[in-house]
Amino acid sequence: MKRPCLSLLSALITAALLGCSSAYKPADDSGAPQQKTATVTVDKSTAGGVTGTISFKGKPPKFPAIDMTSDPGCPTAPQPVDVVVVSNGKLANVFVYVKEGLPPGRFAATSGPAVLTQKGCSYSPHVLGVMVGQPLKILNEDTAEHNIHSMSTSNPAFNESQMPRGEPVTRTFERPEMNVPVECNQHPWMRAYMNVMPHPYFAVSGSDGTFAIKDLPPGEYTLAAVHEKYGEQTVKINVGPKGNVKADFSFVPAN
Amino acid sequence: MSVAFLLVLAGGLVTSNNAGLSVPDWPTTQGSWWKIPPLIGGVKYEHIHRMIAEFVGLLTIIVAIWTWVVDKRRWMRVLTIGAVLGVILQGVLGGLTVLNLLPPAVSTAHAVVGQTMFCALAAIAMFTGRSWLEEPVARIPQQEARPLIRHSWMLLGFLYLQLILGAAFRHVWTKWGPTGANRWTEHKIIHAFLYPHILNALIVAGLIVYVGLRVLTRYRNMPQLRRPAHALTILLVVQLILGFAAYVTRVVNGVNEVQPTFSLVATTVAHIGVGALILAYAVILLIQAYRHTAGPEVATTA
Repeated sequence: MKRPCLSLLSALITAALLGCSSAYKPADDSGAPQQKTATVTVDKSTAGGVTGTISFKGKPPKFPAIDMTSDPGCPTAPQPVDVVVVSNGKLANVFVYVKEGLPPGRFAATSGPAVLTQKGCSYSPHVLGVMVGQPLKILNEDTAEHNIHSMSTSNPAFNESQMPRGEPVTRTFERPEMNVPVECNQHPWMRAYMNVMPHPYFAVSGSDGTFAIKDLPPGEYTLAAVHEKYGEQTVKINVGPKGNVKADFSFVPAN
Repeated sequence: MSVAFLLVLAGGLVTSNNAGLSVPDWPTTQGSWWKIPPLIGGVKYEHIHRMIAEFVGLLTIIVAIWTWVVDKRRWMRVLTIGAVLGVILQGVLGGLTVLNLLPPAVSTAHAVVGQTMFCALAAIAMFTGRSWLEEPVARIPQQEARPLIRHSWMLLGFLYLQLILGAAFRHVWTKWGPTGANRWTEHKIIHAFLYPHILNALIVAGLIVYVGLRVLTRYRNMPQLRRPAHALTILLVVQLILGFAAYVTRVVNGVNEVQPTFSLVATTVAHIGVGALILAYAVILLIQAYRHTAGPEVATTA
């Protein structure tokens, strides 16, 4: 009687541990590889766009400054935390993207790489988007060594050392995937979020909370704004020919 | 033994500082078999852990060779060879967890095998000590010893379950939790691993109190039984306090921390270390309970 119970318990624990990777799927993360379908061509003469501002209502949370003195290659003065960056009630580092409504097909990858820079033992930008098939170039401008650990689940995860001011590391991704944390285990405060998108219609809010998405073909879309701490919000928009739609989002502190 | 205990603490420091992947390659470190990299940031924890592990491996091999040369007890020779194989297995598990980017199942196995090896080394130390080579001052009649042995086995079983749940909680939290890939919410991880860990802690505490009281009230005259029982009861109190402190620093205060705080690291590592000591003392108590059990002829005359 005892043995089956123990076996069942160990099986449950093993299943729970092994099953961790498939437990969470972001709303936009189908995990499917890009289909080899026809490339979508956008007529720029009729294309419109969407602009907006991300507001933050309430008191932003306070984080203790980061002490980077464990590595002499990092800044010696305490550094601010880039998790919730609010300036004059506007929220930075929100990833805004077209979630639904785009014509079916494959969008050609943006020319040139997306760049993620390690500078001052921080990632810049803190949030970035990269298209499926577009190279992501990771630079180390520090005199400190870093390791780049991507916690992808739909794309292959990777972990690679990068020497001080070392050669850039370049990666490409085959599958769309949202909110992929990229971290450095040598400096546990270093964390960026990467979004692998199947199309080029995305932007990240700046320090003034504004964003702009250009060259969007006319149509009805679901626009989403996602913040690493406060989750995702969506809004329906209708972009007319050469039209520029305004869409604002407002985040509130979590309870 | 002491170096092995340091190794357990060093392993706890690696996980608590989220430094497990600061050195991406294995068995080399940054491409070298022998060069010591600058011991800065996460590399400091990971590489020191590797160096202590290599030293423990070397010491275990020396112990095994020494045992084969001087010890006539066949089972001791087998035990030391088993310890060497266990250390190798542990090293391979450590490598697999690094190369596969910390899969919680492998990382948890690494933690469990690590503490098992610590217990094996504690047992070897006991078997080669003077007190083991001398005859016990008294023996317990077989019928009376049975409940003590049964409850000591139960304690060991629940301690292992406790170790698995605690290690799984930490490794799932680090890999998939809010400070990791953020694919599991803290509530989900707490419900899956931490609450069972806390519930099981009550069972473990009950068993330690029961076994400890039984030994300290009935077999006080047997120092080899009294000492581990004493140690277990004291360590239980320390461990419960540390467990609560680790819960506060990680779950209550730690979710929004962008870097591991000193209090989080200190309480977690101490909790792991005291947990390893409790497991080792439980193993010693069980072995001593068997050793102090009288043979059948004594039992009938008692």
